[in-house]
Amino acid sequence: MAAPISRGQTAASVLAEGLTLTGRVAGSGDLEVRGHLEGEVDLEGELTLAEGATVRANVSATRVVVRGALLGDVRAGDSIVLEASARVVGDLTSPRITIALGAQIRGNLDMSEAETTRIVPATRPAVVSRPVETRASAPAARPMAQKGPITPAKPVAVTRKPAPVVAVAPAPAAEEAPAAEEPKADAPRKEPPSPVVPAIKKGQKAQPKRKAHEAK
Amino acid sequence: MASTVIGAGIVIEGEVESDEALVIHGTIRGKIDSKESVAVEQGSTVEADVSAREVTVGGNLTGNVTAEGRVVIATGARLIGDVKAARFTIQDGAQFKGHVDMDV
Repeated sequence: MAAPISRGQTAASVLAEGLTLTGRVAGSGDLEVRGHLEGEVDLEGELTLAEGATVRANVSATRVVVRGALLGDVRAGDSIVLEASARVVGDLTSPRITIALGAQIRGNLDMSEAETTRIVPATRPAVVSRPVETRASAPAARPMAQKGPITPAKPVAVTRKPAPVVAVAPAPAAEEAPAAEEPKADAPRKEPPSPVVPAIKKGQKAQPKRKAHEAK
Repeated sequence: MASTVIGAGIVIEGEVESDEALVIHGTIRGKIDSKESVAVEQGSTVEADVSAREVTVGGNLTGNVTAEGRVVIATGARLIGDVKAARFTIQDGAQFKGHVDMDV
């Protein structure tokens, strides 16, 4: 077993079943863990956590294949593969992640490493337009608030009957254009939203609901 | 099953406990405890106290060695540390600095 010196140094590293390692593993080359490892792994190469392996460590490698149990975050420059027998509690970060049927994981998956730089400029203009949408959609989502914009529409309807009818209908469907107009209409007349706020503050749902039904 | 192999590019800092044989091509700093044999291969660097049934040194080992069986320092190897073993061999061309206790 302990024949020394003669063996080639290209041998891949294996931490066998009966092995317990506490500490930090670093360096280059492929590593297969079949035993128990606790600490940290930072590898330039493929890391395989075999079935039966119990690892409690934050793991970083070029490629990570999990078949055993892992408690800790995984970061791979190339890819992460969770085989069917994998049990993982931790976050996965890699441009490519594969999870086989049967594998169990609890944690966040981040595959955006390479794309974050592209996405960020793309989302920012979208985010600028979104607040307008959310302002319009947020009151629309609330049934109480929906009644708010409708009631100011009625006094407006006295002056322009066709216009408000059209404005109310597209409000949920096409949000952006009417949304820009609605807040202008809401701004001068804040009377309808004000009863909504104290109704919520009372905390008891039964009372505001009754008031709402009575208002109808 | 295959025993544990620590490859040449691997660096371990910490504690290693093994029920099976351990073959080290890489670097270990800390502590090694094996119920079977430990082989510190040529080109490897181990800075750790080693406790095993049998220890064979072919590379650089700095630390105290305790073995139930034999300890061998092979040609070209270097061991700096105390050795406590039932049998102890230093081959021609090996370097050793330390205290030896053979339970005499």
